[in-house]
Amino acid sequence: MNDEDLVKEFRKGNRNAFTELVNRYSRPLTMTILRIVRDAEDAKDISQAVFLKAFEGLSGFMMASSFKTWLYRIAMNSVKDHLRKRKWTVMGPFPEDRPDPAKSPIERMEAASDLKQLRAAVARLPEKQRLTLQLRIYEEMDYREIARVLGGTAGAARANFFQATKTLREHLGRDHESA
Amino acid sequence: MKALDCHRAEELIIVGLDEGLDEGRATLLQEHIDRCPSCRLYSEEMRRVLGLVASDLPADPGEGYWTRYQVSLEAKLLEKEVARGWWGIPWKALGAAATAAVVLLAVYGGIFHVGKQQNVDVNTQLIVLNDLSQVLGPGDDEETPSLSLRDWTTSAMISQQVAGYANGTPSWFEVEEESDYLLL
Repeated sequence: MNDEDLVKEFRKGNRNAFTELVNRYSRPLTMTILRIVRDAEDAKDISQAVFLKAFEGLSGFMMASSFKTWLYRIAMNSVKDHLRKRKWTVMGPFPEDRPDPAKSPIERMEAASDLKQLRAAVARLPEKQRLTLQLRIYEEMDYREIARVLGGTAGAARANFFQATKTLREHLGRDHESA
Repeated sequence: MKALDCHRAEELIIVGLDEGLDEGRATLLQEHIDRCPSCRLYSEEMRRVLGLVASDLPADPGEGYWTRYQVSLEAKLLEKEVARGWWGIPWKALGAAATAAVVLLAVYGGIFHVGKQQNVDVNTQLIVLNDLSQVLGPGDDEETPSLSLRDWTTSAMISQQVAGYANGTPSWFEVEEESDYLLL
């Protein structure tokens, strides 16, 4: 059964249809959120809140877009709210980060330093550029899909991605110079 | 084909790394990069930046995390369903209405009643009905008076008996009538 059929089933009162949608999207959606907010517990809370909103709002969902796009749009709005509340400035380290034993100590230090500078540079990007970059690289969404999720046009999404990469290069170059 | 300027070359470098280029544009860009050290450096830096972003991925939090996720989400959904109400009944609204009704009953039926009781003279409450009949004397249908002159000899005594609890001052009936009765 595809997403559209499941949505219709849910509207008829079949609660299991929603469970199936949760099973399909809970992991990928939570991982998307985790890649942006960088905290597993926050990602869990946001993702669950998204499904609760979907549960309440699904009866009013007009099906103008796919269920996935609609769900990700709710998620990105929630992520934006979360980041604004948290006054996000610097991305925290991943608890899962482990130094690569194949690299020499100097290479490891360089890699850690690069990563730290990268995260600081990504955090300094304007919100829409940052989210566009992350959806494009991590989720491999095309620009039309990004536009549907974040709002705006595909052209604007492409421009945001270009600007984000240019800004990152400039920030990282400046960080390297000042290091 | 027209040679690229650096601005156009930079755009193609990003497009190439992002989506890939067709053969014609890829050749054009490569020719530019081969003779332009600045764009070659730009291409290398951009490749490094995008590679770094792509490599900066959090690991999967593990099965325990996903189990906890499913269990707590299911509980929250259930809670939502209950709050929404069975059979479409808005239990929350009904609950609020019931609470309001209880409050109104408490205010108009309970508190005002208590207020009235508090206004009653405590001394008056102490007099029970049979005490009154003793004090007021027998009615027309009664053969034996409830009090005799032997028990009550003076009006002062009666007043004292009736209102002794209230500092000697009767508060709500005429003592003179009893005095008259006793004097007969």
